[in-house]
Amino acid sequence: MPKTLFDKVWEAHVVEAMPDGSYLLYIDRHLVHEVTSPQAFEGLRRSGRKLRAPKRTLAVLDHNIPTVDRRNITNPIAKKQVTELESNVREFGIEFYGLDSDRQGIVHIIGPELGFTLPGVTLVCGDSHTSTHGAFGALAFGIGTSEVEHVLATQCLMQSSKPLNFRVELQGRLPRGVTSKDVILRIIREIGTAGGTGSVFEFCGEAIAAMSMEERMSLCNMSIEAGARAGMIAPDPTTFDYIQAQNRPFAPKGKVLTEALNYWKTLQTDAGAHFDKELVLNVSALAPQVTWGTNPAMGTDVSGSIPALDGYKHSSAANVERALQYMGLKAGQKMTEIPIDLVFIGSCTNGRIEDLRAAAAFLQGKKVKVQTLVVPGSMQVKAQAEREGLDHVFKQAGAKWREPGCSMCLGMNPDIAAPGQHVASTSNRNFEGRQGKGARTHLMSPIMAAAAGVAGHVVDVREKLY
Amino acid sequence: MESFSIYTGRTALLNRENVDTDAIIPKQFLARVQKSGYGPFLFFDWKNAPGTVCEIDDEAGDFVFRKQVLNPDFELNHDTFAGATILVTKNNFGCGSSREHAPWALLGAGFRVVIAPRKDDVPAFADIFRNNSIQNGLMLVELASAEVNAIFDRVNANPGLEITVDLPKQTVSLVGGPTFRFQINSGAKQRLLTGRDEIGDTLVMAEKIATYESKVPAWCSL
Repeated sequence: MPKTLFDKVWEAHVVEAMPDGSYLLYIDRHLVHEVTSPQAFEGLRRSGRKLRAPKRTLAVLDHNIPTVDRRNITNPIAKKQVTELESNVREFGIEFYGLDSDRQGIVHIIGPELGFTLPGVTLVCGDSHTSTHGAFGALAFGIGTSEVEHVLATQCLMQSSKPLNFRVELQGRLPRGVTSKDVILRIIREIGTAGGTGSVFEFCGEAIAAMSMEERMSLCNMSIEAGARAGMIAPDPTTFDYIQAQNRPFAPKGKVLTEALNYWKTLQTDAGAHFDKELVLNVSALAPQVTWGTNPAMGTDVSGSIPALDGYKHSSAANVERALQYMGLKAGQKMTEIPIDLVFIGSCTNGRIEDLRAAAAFLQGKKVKVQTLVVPGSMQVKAQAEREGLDHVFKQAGAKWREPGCSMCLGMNPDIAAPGQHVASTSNRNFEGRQGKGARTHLMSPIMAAAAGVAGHVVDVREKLY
Repeated sequence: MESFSIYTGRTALLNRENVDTDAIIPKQFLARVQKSGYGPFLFFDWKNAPGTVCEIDDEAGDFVFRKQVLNPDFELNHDTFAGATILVTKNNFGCGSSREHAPWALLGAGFRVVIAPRKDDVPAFADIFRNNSIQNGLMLVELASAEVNAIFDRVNANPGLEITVDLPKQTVSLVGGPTFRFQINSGAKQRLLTGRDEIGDTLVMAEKIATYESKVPAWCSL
């Protein structure tokens, strides 16, 4: 029977199909950060359980880390959480990237950088944006803290059912000024924030083939914002080149790599394989996307307008009205009239070197009108950006160049927007209060965020490129 | 975890779609390292009005309310919903962040059941939230939209109405009728009914896991 990419990776990891219809799934790779792990380690201590395969877990600090003076955590509760991870990794013998490591960074940025993320593996993390790693053809999904404990103790997870296959074909080539971030925002806008619930996306088509690994990661990263369990892309020469780049200590090498490549090349969906759901989107005339509401599906073309209260297909007029009230916006308002008070460039969605290059290229020789935070996704991204002089470009444009971490994507560190502020943000969630109580998030691509910072309002970056 | 079988409780209505886990429990409380104590912070930004002061007390090493001003516009603050332990809401509840603090907060505030509707073929609850809830014995019931609308109408007309959720029979019954049947995955049902230690169950299969591990290819080993 022909199989999808997801079927193949899933079936290769079933340890046992249980009589009640559940599956015991083997987990090859596990990433841990400070926020969703302390209760899991405490659970292990209480039950006297050990780690089954400590080498299959990596731990990193990212969510709470200040981006100005990273060692100076003034919030005593956050500081305790950081200290707790530092002691847990010592106690349980886990590889750790702390504040002194040149490999520290956002968990979903360092996994691929280290060569830890590979095609055909199962990879989990107590973080919903684990879907990022699916860009490599891994089956990667977010889990809760109880499941973190389960993986630490057993290297397995019990899955009550197998998710559905959902094919997303992206035809055509992206126009200039339009990025994979715009593609995923467009997809979410189309199917809604629950359109992918219970499913695993497979992204395919001409637009995917043309994307770099970093663009693919931005796309897969936000699969969860459409509700999908995971998002996957079949590995291809772009994937293999990325894995074989320098400085990926966990990636296979030599003869083992050859074996791996032979297997990875089979990780393609077979002709005639069954998909439960399908979406086809031609991206060749896609416009940059910007959100106007309080979930990632509440967005539209930058050249468009906020819909009428009853013109949004994924929720009731009452919910749209509530969202617009929170956002301080009105139905029918042009997107380019939305004022911007703050710009955030960073996060596991758009904190990689190509994102920073795109933003810096736009900002070269310009000045931002509003406070602009540029937060590299990892120490490696920061070092590379500084080698290329991007930090100077940002500083000369009036932006702030910060230390790596999750930062204002969720504001667990001191980077928080003030109530009522409109934020042009390259992150992944525009939920109420996400970037600070009362803060108004507008999701967009790095180049769109940079352009909004220069203009002081949302602008169509395509009109500014020449 | 606590098991779940047959439960009767007062109902509260939250007429909102796409309630995300950031709304259920905002990020500042995620810095806590405990598994309990999240109940007072459930729906924090919606529940509390300006003037509320909730800050870290150095001595307690935890968040404390210095002053709490309830937002009169927030549904769950209404007197009619006092003491409610069954939350009836709209589709895609629990979307967004994977934080297990969301079911911890709901349980901590006394909720044992959340009822929400499917929308066309789209499940009522987000995947990670659903898994996290089962892990903690928070019962999630998915009904058809018309059935949830009927519950909304009945509860609006009869504030404080009690609902019985019978997991073995897979039914939701309103006092004075009607009764709705719901579907639940059999693995999830067994786990809720027994409340057993899932990690313990997996550890019993250690031999099978070891056999699997012996076949893991070299490129995938660490």
